[in-house]
Amino acid sequence: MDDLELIESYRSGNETAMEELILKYQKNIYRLAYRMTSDMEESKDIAQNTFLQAIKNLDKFRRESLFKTWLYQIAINLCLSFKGKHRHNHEELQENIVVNQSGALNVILNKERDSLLMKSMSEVPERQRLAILLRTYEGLNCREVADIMNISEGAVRANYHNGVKKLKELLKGYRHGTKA
Amino acid sequence: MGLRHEDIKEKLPEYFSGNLSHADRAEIDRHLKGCPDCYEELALIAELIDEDVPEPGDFFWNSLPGKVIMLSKEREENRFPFKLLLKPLPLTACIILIAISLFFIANNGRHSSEYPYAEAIDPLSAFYIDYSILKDEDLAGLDEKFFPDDSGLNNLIGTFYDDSYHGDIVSLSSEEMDNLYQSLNNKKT
Repeated sequence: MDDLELIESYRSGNETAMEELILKYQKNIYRLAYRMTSDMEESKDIAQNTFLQAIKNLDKFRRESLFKTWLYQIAINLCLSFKGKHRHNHEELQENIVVNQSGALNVILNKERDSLLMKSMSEVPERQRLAILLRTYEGLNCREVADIMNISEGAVRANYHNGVKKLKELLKGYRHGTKA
Repeated sequence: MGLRHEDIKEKLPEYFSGNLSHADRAEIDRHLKGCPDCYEELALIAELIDEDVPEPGDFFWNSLPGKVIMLSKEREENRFPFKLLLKPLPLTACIILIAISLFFIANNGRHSSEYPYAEAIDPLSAFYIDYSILKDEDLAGLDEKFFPDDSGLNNLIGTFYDDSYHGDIVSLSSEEMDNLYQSLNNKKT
């Protein structure tokens, strides 16, 4: 069954259909949230709340967009709201990224490359970072990203290219030691 | 027609994820051999995709769907039934309740504006004194005892029936106030 059929099935009372949808997208949503927040616990909550909001607002889901696109929109809004709430902790977050490398998460994120990537990505402006995340990690085309970000395809291209350019510069700076 | 450098750059994420036609893929392969800029960008994409994300573990993945369904049901049960309010009977009840509340609010407002002295919650205000229990002979006795000379003070007492005597006292001039004080003192002695 495709997404729309699963949604219809859930609407007619089949809870398993919704469970199937959650199983299908939960990892994508969690990873997207993690890449935006760099916070594992918060990303788990965002993943859970994304599906809760989706169920609550299922009546508002328009069939002209993909369910996946709609879910990403919800998740991104939750991530942005999280970042808004924790904006004052931005510096702390930056520190945590590095501290976590040598701490409990060392087992998972023990590569310096990952640390530099995360640090650099966190410095890329929000919209540009979002365009990179959705284009590369999620493998979405410009049209889909435009739908999610609610901007034009041209703006997606511009955000993506400027973001990649900025990311390259930041990585060069860190790798050549010109940026602390 | 061949793809331009900018077009190829734009398709690199799709190239990496394998979502391209065979023809486009072959063309990008050829372009990459002679374009260090695109090659560098592709390497960056590969690096990004290769980046680790800490996994919450199987327990989280396996329990999330059930947990979400359960929480959504709980929230649905706890949600105030706004839709129910739109049904005829509750709607009528709400309208009646609102109308009754508005009537009382409006009535209270008029009440206080008619009796400005009462607003100060003055225990001496005529508004709070029930003069209906007084009989004519009670007042006559009072009149004879304190104001036998039929002075203006008898008129003042007459206004007790109408409204607060404060208004009358406040309207007296300083000379009249002195006279009043004098009269009261004389009567006392």
